[in-house]
Amino acid sequence: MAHAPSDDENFRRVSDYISEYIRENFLDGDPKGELEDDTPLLEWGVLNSLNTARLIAFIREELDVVVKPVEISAANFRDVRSIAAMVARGVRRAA
Amino acid sequence: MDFDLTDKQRKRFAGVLAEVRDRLGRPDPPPGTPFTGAQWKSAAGIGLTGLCLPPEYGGGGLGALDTALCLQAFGQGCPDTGLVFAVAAHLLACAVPIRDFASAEVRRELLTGLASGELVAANAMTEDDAGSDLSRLSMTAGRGPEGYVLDGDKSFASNAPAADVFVTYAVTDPGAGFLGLTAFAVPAGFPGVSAGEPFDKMGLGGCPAGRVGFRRCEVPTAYRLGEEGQGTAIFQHSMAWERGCLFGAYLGVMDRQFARCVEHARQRRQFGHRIGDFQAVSHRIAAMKQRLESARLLLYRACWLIDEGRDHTGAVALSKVAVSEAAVANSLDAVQIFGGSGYLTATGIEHQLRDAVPALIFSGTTDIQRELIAREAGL
Ligand SMILES: Cc1cc2nc3c(=O)[nH]c(=O)nc-3n(C[C@H](O)[C@H](O)[C@H](O)COP(=O)(O)OP(=O)(O)OC[C@H]3O[C@@H](n4cnc5c(N)ncnc54)[C@H](O)[C@@H]3O)c2cc1C
Repeated sequence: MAHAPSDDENFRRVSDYISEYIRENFLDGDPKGELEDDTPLLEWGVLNSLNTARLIAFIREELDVVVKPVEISAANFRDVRSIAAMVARGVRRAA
Repeated sequence: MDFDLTDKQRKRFAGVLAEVRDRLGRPDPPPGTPFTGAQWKSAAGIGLTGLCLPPEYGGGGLGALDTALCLQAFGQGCPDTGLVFAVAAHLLACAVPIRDFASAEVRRELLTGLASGELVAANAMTEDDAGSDLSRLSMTAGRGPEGYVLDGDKSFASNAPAADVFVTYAVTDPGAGFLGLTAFAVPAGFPGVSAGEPFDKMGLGGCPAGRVGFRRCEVPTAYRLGEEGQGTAIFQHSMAWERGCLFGAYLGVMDRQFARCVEHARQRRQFGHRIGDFQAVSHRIAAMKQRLESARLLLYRACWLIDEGRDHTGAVALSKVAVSEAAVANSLDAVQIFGGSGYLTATGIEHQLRDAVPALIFSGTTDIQRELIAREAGL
């Protein structure tokens, strides 16, 4: 039996997945590789009300985590790291 | 699948329609002038100012679909679409977010008055530089002694010149983009709030609209709606209700308009025939019917999804686009069917076109709705 992924592994996997999604869909593939885990997505307008809804749908469909309305906050969407942390909490909740 | 209204829904619809025709069915004052206190009171007396507010505050306790059906009856029975719009905007863009997000204290203070129509509410989001793009909002809510201090100008608020309460949105966290907005309910009597003169506009004259300024306006924390940073979510919630239910009124307007067009096509004669015998006219009427009925199905379904607590953003956007585009297209066709008399104000046809055009713009433009639809499709 494979060991259950650790919180750290979960976090890494989720944050890679989310970075990839944001690069492909909101940054034209990010040709210069500028997206970091702490890039301020809200402040720079990478995330807006239209595309954040898409990101939330992606998280629901691909990562099986439902982002609750109260979780849609600046603290949870500030950067890739905070989004991944929120999703990892959701994964633990579901486990 | 069942496409029928229930008996209860049919009876409620008929009851509202009869009362609206009785109390608001005559164009008095003439459409185009801001609603009078007496008109507003009549609408409130029928329960229209509180349709979806909780019964414990004197509201009707209706869900989204039943609210839309009542607004449909209102739109059908009342020739002053501006008044219908004013009441619906008060209810959906203002009372709904207060119902769902205000503190217990503020709900107690405001909801009863909003439901009874004693208070008129206006929603003030749009600014000179922030229309479709709400991340450009510049009104700020800084920290104040009792909570917040609002500073900024709102450029387009329906009901503003008549409002007792504003639901408004300001930036509390400048680094947080659209998640840095916070919603407030602000009584118009608070020092620093000032509403401008009513605008001259193309249509919906029954609903006065204007600018609103907030100058060092102190707002206690109790008047915040929801949490800091939830402003966008609260606004989207109120817009789902407005885009869904308010457009029910346009279905009612289109029903009335359609009946008039059929009647006119049956009795007006040219070249020895009823004009309805000419296929150009009868097919125009068939196309009107097709737009109206497809818009109706989309709207009922969108409101049903809201009531079921299911994903509704895309469905509501589809409904909003369908109803508003049908309203404009059908109103243009109606003018054509009535010919020269349709162009004359006294016939009561041309104003429907002027009242329909803004539906393409308010509650989020057609382009923005298509953007939501496209994104939901995965583009
Ligand atoms: C009758 C009426 C009542 C109103 N009542 C209220 C009210 O009560 N409270 C309130 O706050 N506001 C109200 N408004 C204002 C309304 O919400 C705004 O006019 C609307 O959101 C559009 O903003 P804008 O006028 O700045 O147009 P802009 O955002 O400047 O848009 C101009 C044009 O560009 C298009 N466009 C913009 N961005 C995009 C994009 N990303 N993709 C494609 N096309 C785009 C738009 O669709 C539009 O055709 C009302 C407007 C009307 C007409």
